[in-house]
Amino acid sequence: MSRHSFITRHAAPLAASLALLLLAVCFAFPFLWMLFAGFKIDAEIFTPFPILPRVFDTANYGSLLGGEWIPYPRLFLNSLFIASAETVLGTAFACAAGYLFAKFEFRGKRVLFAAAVLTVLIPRQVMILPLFSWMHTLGLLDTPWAVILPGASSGIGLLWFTAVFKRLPDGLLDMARIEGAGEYRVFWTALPLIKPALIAFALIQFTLAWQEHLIPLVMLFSKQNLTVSIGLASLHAGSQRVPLGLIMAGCTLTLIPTALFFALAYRHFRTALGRLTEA
Amino acid sequence: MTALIIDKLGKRYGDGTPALRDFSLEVADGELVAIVGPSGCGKSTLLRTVAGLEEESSGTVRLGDRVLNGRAPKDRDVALMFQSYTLLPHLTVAENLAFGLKLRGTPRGERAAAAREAAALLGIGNLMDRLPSEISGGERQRVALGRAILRKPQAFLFDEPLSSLDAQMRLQLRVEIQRLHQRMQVPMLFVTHDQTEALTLGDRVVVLDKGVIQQVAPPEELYHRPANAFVASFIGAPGMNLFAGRVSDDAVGFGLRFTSPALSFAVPADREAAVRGRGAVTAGLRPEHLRPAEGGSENAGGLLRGAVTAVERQAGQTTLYLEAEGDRSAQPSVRSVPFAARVSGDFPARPGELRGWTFDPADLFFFDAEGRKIP
Repeated sequence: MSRHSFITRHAAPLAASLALLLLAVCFAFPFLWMLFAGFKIDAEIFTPFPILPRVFDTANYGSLLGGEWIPYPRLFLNSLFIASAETVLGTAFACAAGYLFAKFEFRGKRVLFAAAVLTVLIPRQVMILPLFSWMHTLGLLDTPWAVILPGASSGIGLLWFTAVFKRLPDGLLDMARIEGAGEYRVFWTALPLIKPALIAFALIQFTLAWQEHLIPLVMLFSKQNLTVSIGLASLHAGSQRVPLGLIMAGCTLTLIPTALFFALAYRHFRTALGRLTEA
Repeated sequence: MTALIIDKLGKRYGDGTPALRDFSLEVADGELVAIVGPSGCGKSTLLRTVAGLEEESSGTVRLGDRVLNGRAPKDRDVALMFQSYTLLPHLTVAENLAFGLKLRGTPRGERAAAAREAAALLGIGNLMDRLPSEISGGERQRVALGRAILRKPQAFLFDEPLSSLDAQMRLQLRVEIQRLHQRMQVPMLFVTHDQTEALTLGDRVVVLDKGVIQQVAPPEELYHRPANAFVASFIGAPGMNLFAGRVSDDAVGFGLRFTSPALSFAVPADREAAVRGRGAVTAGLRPEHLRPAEGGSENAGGLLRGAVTAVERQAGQTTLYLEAEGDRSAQPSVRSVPFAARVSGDFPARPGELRGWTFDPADLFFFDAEGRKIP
């Protein structure tokens, strides 16, 4: 075996693996630090090494879940409800609208589509005042719906599902029509065919809803009605002397739903992106 | 009796271009009518309009005494078999077969029984639990065929169902469709761009061009009595050779003479009356009616000489593509006149060779200036 082939066969892949490992450590470190910091007492937290706590102290989790500073379990449930509702409604609306834009001709289609694209370009900060005033008129302020309804309309979702349905062959839909499906049933028949795209969008929608800060901050006031991200942020307000470990514990718990969802749906996410980006 | 009656059907696209003009056809119960034409001739539009997937611009479609216009596809009770594979990828073969029945609310047990029966009929009984991705293209089209028949539709439409299959599969499935045609006493419309399919499957064949019916006739008649130059050149492989020319009195006064740049001959006495005084006339000769002349030089009977441009050898016969010298004064691109000849399989020919041909005047066809056949 020549020297050259030894390098290309073994040394180069090894170097690449090492480089990737180094990157992985860089990315993983803050998360690991957060995970372990939740079990540390404050005196320990500011020395990064050793990364492992001397004793695994669960006092932070105890006082967090006990509601000593914020009603954490309640906020967690609020967030779960809001993010789930936004995901279900947002996916349903975007999917149905995308199907319509991709497969039907109707008056004003181009104008409506352009309007939908524009909503993607307008930052939320610009829309927050009118949204607030609408929610006030509807009497929904300080309820989960004041967060869910704005979050359930998604211009990106419309673009995404229009692209997805455009790729779906008309033959299958025509077949369903001939075989005896009405138009709603045809749509229903098409849904399993785009399952990866549906799950991928739901995943993105859930993650964004879970992290959303601005809209819940403006729409929700009572301590009991906040979302978990607002609750955690309020802990960091300097006037209070909340143990840093407790905040880290809160962050760790808050990561669980998105991480879980991602782990379960990642396979579909990859398939959907692959299908949409292939030539 | 539930004949499919299409009456003066017209279809325009959004921009006003006509796809179908005054299409009228009656397909009897148990009759299979094949519709053939070049791509873009409107044949698929016709099927989609009959099925209700597209809306007609004018005319009516009836099934027996039931008017189909304005009804949704699902309420028309017709089956349509598509060119592309239209099985649902997440359902098994059995579920795909029973899909139509499920949509119509047939109970589960009945559905399974019907699916088994159709599968046995088409020889796919062993595939019932497979997914479409796990079976071959030919098998997929069999499943699609099975799905269409087990619903017992009032009419059967085929939109080039064989064109995505390889040659052998196509032959097998063609036989399957013929069997189906014997069994099912419903009107059937079969659209194809492949004339062999049309001629072998159709009780009658419709030749369609630019949305207009050119001829409706049994397969044999299309070949022997083409209504116009389009049908003549479309039917046959290759189609009829056409020579555009003029008919005029012979200079020496011995009757009529046909002259064109590539071909000139004395009009046979029994045809003189028909072509006299028409001026511009197109003469047609089928490739299989051309006979090689001795030596390829001066020859009697007919005068057609051309240089061989391509030799296509098939089992038992050979098709020669030739070019005759045409009008020298014309544009270079149209200066030569292409034609084809069908000869025996062992006929010696090489590209570039000059060959002379004769023919029997009885085999000649004449078409008038509008392309209509002169009797």
